[in-house]
Amino acid sequence: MTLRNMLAVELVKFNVPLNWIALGVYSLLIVGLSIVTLNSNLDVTNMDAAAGETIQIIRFQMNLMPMFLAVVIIYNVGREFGTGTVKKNIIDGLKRGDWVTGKVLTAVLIFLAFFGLGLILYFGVGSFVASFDAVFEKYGWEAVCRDFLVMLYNVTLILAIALLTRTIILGFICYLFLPVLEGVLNIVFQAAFKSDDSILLFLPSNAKSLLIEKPIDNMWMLLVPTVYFTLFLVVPYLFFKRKDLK
Amino acid sequence: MKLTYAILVGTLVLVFAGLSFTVTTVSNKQIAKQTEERASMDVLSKSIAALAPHKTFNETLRGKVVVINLWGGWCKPCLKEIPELNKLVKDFDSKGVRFIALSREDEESDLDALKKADLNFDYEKIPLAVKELKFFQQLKLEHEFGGYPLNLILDREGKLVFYKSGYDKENIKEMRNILKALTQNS
Repeated sequence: MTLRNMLAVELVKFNVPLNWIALGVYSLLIVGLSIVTLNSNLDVTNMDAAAGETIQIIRFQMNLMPMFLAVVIIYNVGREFGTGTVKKNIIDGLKRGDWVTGKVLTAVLIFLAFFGLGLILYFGVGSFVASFDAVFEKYGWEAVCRDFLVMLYNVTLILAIALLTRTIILGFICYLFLPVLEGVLNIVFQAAFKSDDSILLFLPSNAKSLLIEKPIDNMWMLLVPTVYFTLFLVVPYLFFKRKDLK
Repeated sequence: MKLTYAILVGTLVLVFAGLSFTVTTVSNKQIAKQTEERASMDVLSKSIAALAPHKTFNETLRGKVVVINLWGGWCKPCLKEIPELNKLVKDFDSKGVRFIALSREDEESDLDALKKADLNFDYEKIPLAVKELKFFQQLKLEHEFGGYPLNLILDREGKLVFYKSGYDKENIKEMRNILKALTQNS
């Protein structure tokens, strides 16, 4: 099965009300904020202040996107396991690799589309109320890349949780409580070893902080999120066996 | 299909690793350059020029190690670090180090807050205009955290050797080590 066919299959499965509601709400919020920014800044002559106001679009988008992605990804994967679609697909001849590839591709494409939408709105609105240079100074290529990396990391983490838990409720619980669990683990570690050192940066959910930390004295530390990123993609695939569908 | 998935995973990991290493390398270089530029600045001369003529914060500070603290009575972490800062005064005052605390013009409320918290602040307290205080906050580099309390150390040449905001015991430890090094021959 070609990648194109896999995407076509995923698009058909995507066509359920909750996905469109989530997409609609998310788009409306970002577009709405852009319109508000556009209107509130029309008389602002100070470019720096106007660019400062416009940056809220990106910040809002970055805060909202993980939750939106979690809703869409966990719901879709959980629903397929719940309704037996996965089992049916596999019996119909779809290989487990095809199925996982379709899911990864769809998740990455949804993320790219919405990350792109946020950038277009930010730079579009910003250029109108201030200037492209002013908004680019506030949110340059480095910040764009860092946000892109953090969000891509989030996408794979959410997808891994969804593929490993296979149920909507459990998936959400794991996603929401993973940072809490990591916090508890850190406290236990510090108490057990009577240490002030934190292990949070070495745990899956918190390791993404290394992608935004400035400066990083030890470049090898970047291997931590890279290894987790790889594991998020490989482990669910390895755990997804034909016998699990019986 | 295993191969297709391996290629997809490989591509994603390459993009992720390549981008993160590139961004961090470039960012580290920029930070190093900015830090170097700030370290070569004569901050003391610039700050004296930026402030209105003052009986304490003036040319008499030249040639001395100067420790500056930006604080406010409204700022709880500022009050929390005062006992630690007083220990620095106790240990380094005799070695010719000047300790200056800068706060907003509303000096009375700051002093009231000290009284309420049952604290003595052993720094020389100078109230300044918000505009004047901004000079010190503007020394912050892009990656550094802003806000109060803010601690700075200027060496004998007026150059900035320490700049950190927020209350953290590690900061005080670092300040102590820097002051030890700067007053070694005093």
